[in-house]
Amino acid sequence: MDAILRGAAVYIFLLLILRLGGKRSLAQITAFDLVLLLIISEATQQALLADDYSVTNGFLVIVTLVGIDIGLSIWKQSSPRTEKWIDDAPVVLIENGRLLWERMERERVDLDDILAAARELHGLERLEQIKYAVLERSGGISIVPKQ
Amino acid sequence: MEPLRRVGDLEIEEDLEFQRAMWRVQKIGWVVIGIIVVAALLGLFGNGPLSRAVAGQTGLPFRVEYERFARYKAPMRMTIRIEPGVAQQGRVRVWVAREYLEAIAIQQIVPEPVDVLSQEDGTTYVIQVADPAKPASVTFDAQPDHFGLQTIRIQVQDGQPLRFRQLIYP
Repeated sequence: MDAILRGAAVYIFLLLILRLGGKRSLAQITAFDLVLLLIISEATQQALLADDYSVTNGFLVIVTLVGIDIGLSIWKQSSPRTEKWIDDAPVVLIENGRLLWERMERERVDLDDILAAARELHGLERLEQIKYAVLERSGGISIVPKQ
Repeated sequence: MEPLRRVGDLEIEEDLEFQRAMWRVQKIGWVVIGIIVVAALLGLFGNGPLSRAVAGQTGLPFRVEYERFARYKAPMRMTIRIEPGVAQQGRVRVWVAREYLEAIAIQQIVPEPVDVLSQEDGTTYVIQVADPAKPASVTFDAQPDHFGLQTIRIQVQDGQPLRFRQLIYP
C-alpha cells in the first residue's frame, strides 16, 4: 500500500515544484541544469523506494508513476484547461520583430537567451533578423526568422 | 478541438490570461518555498531549535529531552535526566508506555539496562546507577516506524507518569 502512496506523493510533489519553478527551471540551458536534475533524482530515489529493496516494491512504484501519467494524459486530452495548468502554454516573446519585455521579464528570459537560440537554430546574427521568438512549453526558445 | 488561435502569422496556443494566472501562482509558490526553507532551518521538520523540547512536571524527579518533530525512519534521540536521590539500591526503573514502543524501533539504550521487564501496558527498563546521590541520565536512540501524532508516557520508579506529545512526519 505505501509503495503506491509514496509514488503518488512524489509524482505530485515533483510536478508541483517544477511547475512553480517555471518553464526555464530544468530546460537544460546550462551544464548545471543537468547536474541539478541528477541531484533531484538522487534525492527522490530514497523517498520512492524507502528501505524496501524488493523487486515488487520497485514494480509497484513504477506502475504508480506510469499510471498517474496515463491518467493525467487522459484528463488533459479532455480538458484543455487542465492541460495548460499541468503542461503550461507557449509564450510569444518577439512578435513581428517587436520585443515583448514584460513577458520576457516574467519568464526570466534575457535577450541573450533569444539570440543564442537564434544562432543555434538558424545561424542568425542580429536581433533584427528575428520575426518571432516563442518560449515553448519545454522551456526551449523557438525562432522564426524574417524572410 | 477548439479552433487554433493566431498571434500575428503564428498559429499558437498562447493564452495570456492563463499565463498571468500562472505567473501569480508561481510568485505565491516562491514565497511558500521560502517559508518552508526558513521553517526547516528553524526545525519545524525536525532537528532544530523549534524541535528541541524538554518535558517535565513539578514534583517529578526527572525530565525528558526529546524531539518535538521527528521523521519516519529517521534516527532520533530521547534523553531522560534523573535527579539525584531517586535510585534505590543503585537502580532506577524507567517505564515507557506500550503505544509509543509500538510506534518506534529502539536501536540502542545507553546505559544498557540490566533488566528489561515486559508488562501489559508497557516496558520497564532497569538501569544501574553508579552514585545515587548524583544525577543520572538514560538515552534512547530510536527510529519511528509509524507516523502521526504520538503520545508518550514515561514513568520513573513509582511516581506519576509524565505525558508529552511528538509529531512524526511521514
